[in-house]
Amino acid sequence: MSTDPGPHPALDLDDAVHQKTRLALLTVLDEAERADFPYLKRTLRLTDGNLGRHLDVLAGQGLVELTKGYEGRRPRTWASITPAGRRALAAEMQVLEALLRRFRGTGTT
Amino acid sequence: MESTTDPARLVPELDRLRARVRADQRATSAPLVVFGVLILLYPVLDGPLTGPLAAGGRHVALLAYWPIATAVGLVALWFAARHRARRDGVGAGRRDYGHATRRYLIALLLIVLLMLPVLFVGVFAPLVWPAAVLAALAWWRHDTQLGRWAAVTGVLGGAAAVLAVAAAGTADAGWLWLVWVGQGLLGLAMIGGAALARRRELAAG
Repeated sequence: MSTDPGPHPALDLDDAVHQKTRLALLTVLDEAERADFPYLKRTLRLTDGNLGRHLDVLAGQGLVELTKGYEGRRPRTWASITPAGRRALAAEMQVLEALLRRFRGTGTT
Repeated sequence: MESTTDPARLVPELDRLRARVRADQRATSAPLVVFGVLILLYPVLDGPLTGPLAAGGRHVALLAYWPIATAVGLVALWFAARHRARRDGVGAGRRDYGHATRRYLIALLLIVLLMLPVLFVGVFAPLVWPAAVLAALAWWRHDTQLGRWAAVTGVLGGAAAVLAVAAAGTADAGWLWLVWVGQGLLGLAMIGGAALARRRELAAG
């Protein structure tokens, strides 16, 4: 008797979140709540253009919120994670853990 | 962050990234140094500083020390985190010290208004108060290392309180000054622990 293992967990991965840079951005923002552009660039070793592009994708999905302001005369952009971003990250981590269990052969199939 | 999509490597890398952010927030070293200093100051208050006071004044000072010192410590941590956010561009996280301070002050207000005997913990088992605050912070901010320090402080504080109660009924309680020394040493150890935690945080950064 064969049992249906169900869809592979990899099918549950969200393309917007699973991309490794965006996943890293959400992870940093989940821990820090908010961070400015230079901190994210420094921590993830990204260029201005690369970071801006990935943040725009996340902001377009409503997963992060960008706030532009000034500190003195210096412009400063902050990114903060939204509740939807936290939920998306938590769901992604659950899928990754399910994949890990499957790879290690200890999960249910 | 390395370029990988293999979950077996990705998950630990994301954990390291979280650890790096927590290191940049000084999540463990900052509360340890603040509460280490507060623990170090308590024997000073209990000894030389309140020596000239009458017994009543001394009791009020001891009763007020931990409730006020904890509020001061939490506010200091809150302002330090805000300063770091402005300087380094990293926020303090969802469970920040601003929330912790507000919750503590509400709890303290309720304790005072309802005249709950919890306040006397600060007098009869002085180390149990900071241990409880550190344990609450460790639980709230998911910090295992802070939790270990809270446990050590609580156990030592509980033991010191039991010894003090046992000695109160005896004629020879002259050794009680050792409890002061022990508290001072614990404060110093906590500040030393903060320095070690900071070194680990710098290594993770």
